[in-house]
Parts: sequence; structure tokens; C-alpha cells
Amino acid sequence: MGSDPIFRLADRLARWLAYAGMALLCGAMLVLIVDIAARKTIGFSILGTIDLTQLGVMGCVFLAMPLAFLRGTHVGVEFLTDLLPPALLRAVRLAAGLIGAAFMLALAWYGLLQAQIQLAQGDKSVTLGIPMILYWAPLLVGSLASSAAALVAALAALRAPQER
Amino acid sequence: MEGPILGLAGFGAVLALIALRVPVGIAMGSVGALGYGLTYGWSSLAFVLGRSPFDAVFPVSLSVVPLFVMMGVFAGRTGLSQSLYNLVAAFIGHLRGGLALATIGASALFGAVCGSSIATAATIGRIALPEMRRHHYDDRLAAASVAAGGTLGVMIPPSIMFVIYGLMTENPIGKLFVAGILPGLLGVGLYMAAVRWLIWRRPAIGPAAERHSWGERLRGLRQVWQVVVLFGVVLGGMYLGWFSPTEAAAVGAFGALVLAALGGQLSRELLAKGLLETAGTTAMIFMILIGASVFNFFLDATGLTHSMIDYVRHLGWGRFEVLAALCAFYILLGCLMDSLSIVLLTIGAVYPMVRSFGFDPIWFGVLLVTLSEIGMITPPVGMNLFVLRGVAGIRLETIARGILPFIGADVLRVALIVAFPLLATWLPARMTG
Repeated sequence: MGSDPIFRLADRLARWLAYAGMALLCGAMLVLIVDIAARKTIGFSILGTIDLTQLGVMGCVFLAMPLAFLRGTHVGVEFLTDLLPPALLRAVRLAAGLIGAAFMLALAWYGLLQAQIQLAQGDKSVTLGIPMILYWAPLLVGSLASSAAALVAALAALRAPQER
Repeated sequence: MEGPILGLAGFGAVLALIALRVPVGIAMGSVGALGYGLTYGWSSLAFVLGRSPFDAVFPVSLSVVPLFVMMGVFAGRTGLSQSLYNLVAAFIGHLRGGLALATIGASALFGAVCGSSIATAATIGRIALPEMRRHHYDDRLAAASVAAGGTLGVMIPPSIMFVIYGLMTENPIGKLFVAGILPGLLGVGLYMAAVRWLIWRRPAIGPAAERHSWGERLRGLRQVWQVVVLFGVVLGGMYLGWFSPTEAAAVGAFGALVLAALGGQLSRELLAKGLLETAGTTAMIFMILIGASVFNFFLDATGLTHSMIDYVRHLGWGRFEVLAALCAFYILLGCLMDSLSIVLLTIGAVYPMVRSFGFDPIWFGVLLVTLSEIGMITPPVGMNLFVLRGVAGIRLETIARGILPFIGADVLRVALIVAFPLLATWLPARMTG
């Protein structure tokens, strides 16, 4: 799989998305740490830690998702199909990948519809007034990229039948 | 098709897809979406698919998941597993069966950090199995102690399983963490008793290793004391009400990074690998959460849960018949799937029934996690057994024959948790904050 140029490109893009997500999570972590330190020492609390933590987690989860599809990190059960003949196993893997791609595409599409409603209504976070569309952005990007990643992984597995 | 029957068919379809290599979260989500569309019509499905992923990730209480994962990843990547094994082996490795006992102890400590029984079995297995083979341990004892030991950490806080159970059932996460401590320690004690019993019957299967000096033991302690302090601060802070679980998780993740930096191990490569591992594990957990969220919309629509409760009441079953049936169900399911998937797949249907029979939700959370972990080591398809086969090349039959005393220990633990619910409820009742 690793020698496939499309897979390698997708893996690189997915890695950078994951790093971006982890940067958001680390940002949220630092906000929480500073808040605890300030509260325990000088009795001062940072405003909007919840808003910022939620933004960090939304970014971390959805931007990490494509990498999990590409690298097969998602929990699955493989031993039941390990004994299938290679051709049938390839078909099973392709079908599993296509189901994943279709599901993530549906999440992206229907998520976009919901995000447009919140954008039109001008919804904002409770404390800091962060536009809710910013919380939706990682979901939309991550779901769409995950759909593509699931497809790339399925096709790459198809071309590398010897790998189980 | 009637609603409840459709619900049962949905469970069957999820299991079938999982058997065909569809990731658990995707299987639950796609069956849930199709089922909901069939039940309520396709136009309302748009709302479910549009909102579920957002609502499954947005609650701030879920921020503990990636942060605790990050803590575990960085603590683990800085050589904690080897240090923990060396430490416990230095203290008890000279006993007959001592290295198997050390494997149990190190697995419990590392599993608490890592949070996954499969990862614990694989990691400790790579360290402990060569050591036990070098000392001529019987493969059955060696492999079984690794496979069984892997299941212990899930009970010992901070446990992602308890976070998920708490969020799905709206129970306090801090109390669940604390509730797992005594049953987790009981599990360690019973597994160690199983090893001692095996050695008592056949002393040759676990020869004594060399005795370590107190200097070596203290050196071992020096390698892990900082992580022990970090865990003490995280758990003690929650227990005493200094931090919320989210803040405790942030302290844990930050502390693990600081410890790696202070130990001179936080290279660019380790940071990159650690961040990507955190990202992968986090995405994996939340994918199942999102799938479960869609699937639970479908289950609610079918009315399966209420039908199950009515059916069980119609059968005239009492609390303990229900409990016995649930125990059998979860152990069976545990043979096929990992514990997180089991909890998320079933909790929407089972939890209301458990509550309707008056069981304590904290106690049931502890029982549920214990039961789902037993399946991980139950032959012929317990997942930890397969991990060991992959890691050490030991035949499945060999591991399966060695694991039976440990399953016996688990059954005894379940019986004790059922007979003495205080094991799970006494500590949480004494929490402050």
C-alpha cells in the first residue's frame, strides 16, 4: 500500500490535517492549564475555556479522521474473513471501504445542510460568541476528506492483494 | 416489519457488517441510518445524519477522551512499559512464577495508562514473553498471564471505557473512575492467585528468576516515580474535587509531555509519532461514538428497548435472572468485539432495562466493563488471544489451555461484584467535590 503514489499523497495530506487537529487540541489543553494555574494562584479565571475546549476537540476529532481511514486505525474485526480466498477477500475489503466512503460522504453532505442553517441564523458560542460555523468547519472538511481517504484505502488495498 | 423486530434485525445487520470487515462505527452508523430511514422516512434522516456527528463530539465533557489518550500515548512512548515491568519483576521476579506475577502487575499499571487491553497485551507481551521464555516458563502460563493481564487496566482509572459509559448514561465520570479502583485491584489479586495456584500444582512451569538487590529495586522505582506522581495528581485532584475531569485530563496530558521533555526524550520524531498516534486513537473512539449516536436514533425509533423490558417482565424474570442473562450476553459478545464497541452498541438498549430493574448505574458500569473484558480472553475467539498469537507466534490452543484459570478468576470477580456491590459503590460514595 505504501508504494502507491496516490496513497502516499493522501497519507501526507491526512497527516497534515491530523497535525492541524492536534494543534487545536494542544491549544485547548494549554488554555485549560493556564486557567487552572491562574485560578489556583491569583484567583483569576479565563473567560470562555469551555468554548475554546470544544473548538479544540471538534478540530482534533474530525481532522484526525481521514488518517484513521487511510491507516486502518478504525476498530474492525478481521479474523473472521482472514481465511477467505484472496479474490473474495479483496471484494470484501473493497465493499467495506465503499460503505465507509458512502457513510462519511453522507455525513459531510447532511452536515453541510445543517451548517448552512446555523450560518444563516448567525448562531454563536455561549461565552465568547465564536460563530458556530467555525465549529462545523472541521466536521465538514474532516468528513469529506475521510470519505476520500476511505476510497483511496480501499483501492490501494485492492492493488495490494498480498497484504491481509 | 414491526419496529422491535426491525431493531433486532438492525443488531444482526451490524454484527454481519462487522464480520465483513466494516469498521464498527461505520457499521453502526450505516445500519442506523438505513434503519431510521425505513422507520421514520428518508426526509427526517437528513436531520439525524446532519446533527449526530456534531452532537456526538461537541459536549465539553468529551474533551477528556483525547486528552487522556494523549497522556497515555506519551507516557507509553517514553519507555514506561519496560520500566514498569522491570520494576515489578525486580520486586517479585525471584518467586516461583514471579515473572508471570510481574506481568500481571505491570499490565495493570500500564493498562491504566494506555486504556486498551489489546494494546496492553501486545506491548507487555513483547517485553514479558521473551523474558519468561529465557527463564524456561511454560508457554501456557506465560502467554495466558499476558493475555489476561491486558484486561486489567481498563478498570483502573483513568479509564476511557468509564468516560464513554458515563457520557452515554449521564453518570458522573469521576465517580465511575473511583468505582473501578477496588474491582480493578481485586482483579489483580485474583489473577495473581490464579498464577500461584498454577505454580502450586506444577512448580516446574514457572521457575524462580534471579533475586534483585534493593539498589536495583530503588533504581527501578526512580524510573517510574514521576509518572506515579502524575497519576496521583490527576486522580487525587479529581477525587478531592480540585479539578473537573476535563481539567484533570489536561493536567495529565500536559504533565506527560513535560515529563517526556524533562527526561530528554521529547524529540521531534517522538512528538510527531505521539501526536499521530493520539489522533488515530481519538478518531477511532469518536467514529464509534458517532456511529452509536446514529444507531441509537434508530433503536429509539423501533421501540426495541421498551419491548425488551416488557418481554422480560412478561417472562416473570427477577433481577438476578436478568443479570445472569446479561452476563452471558456480554461475555459472548466480548468474544467477538472489543469492549468499547460492545458498550456503545448495546448500552442504548440495555441501560434503560437495567435501570428499570433498579440496579445501581455506577455498579452496573463496573460490572459491564468487567464482563466485556472477560470476552477478550475467552476461547475460541477472544481478541487478546489472537494478539498474543500475532506477537509471540504461540499456538491458539496453547494460549487457550493456559487461560482457563484466569477466566475462573474473572468469574469469581464478577460473582464478588454482584454479591458485594459495595466493592464498586463504597469509594465513590466517599468522594468530595
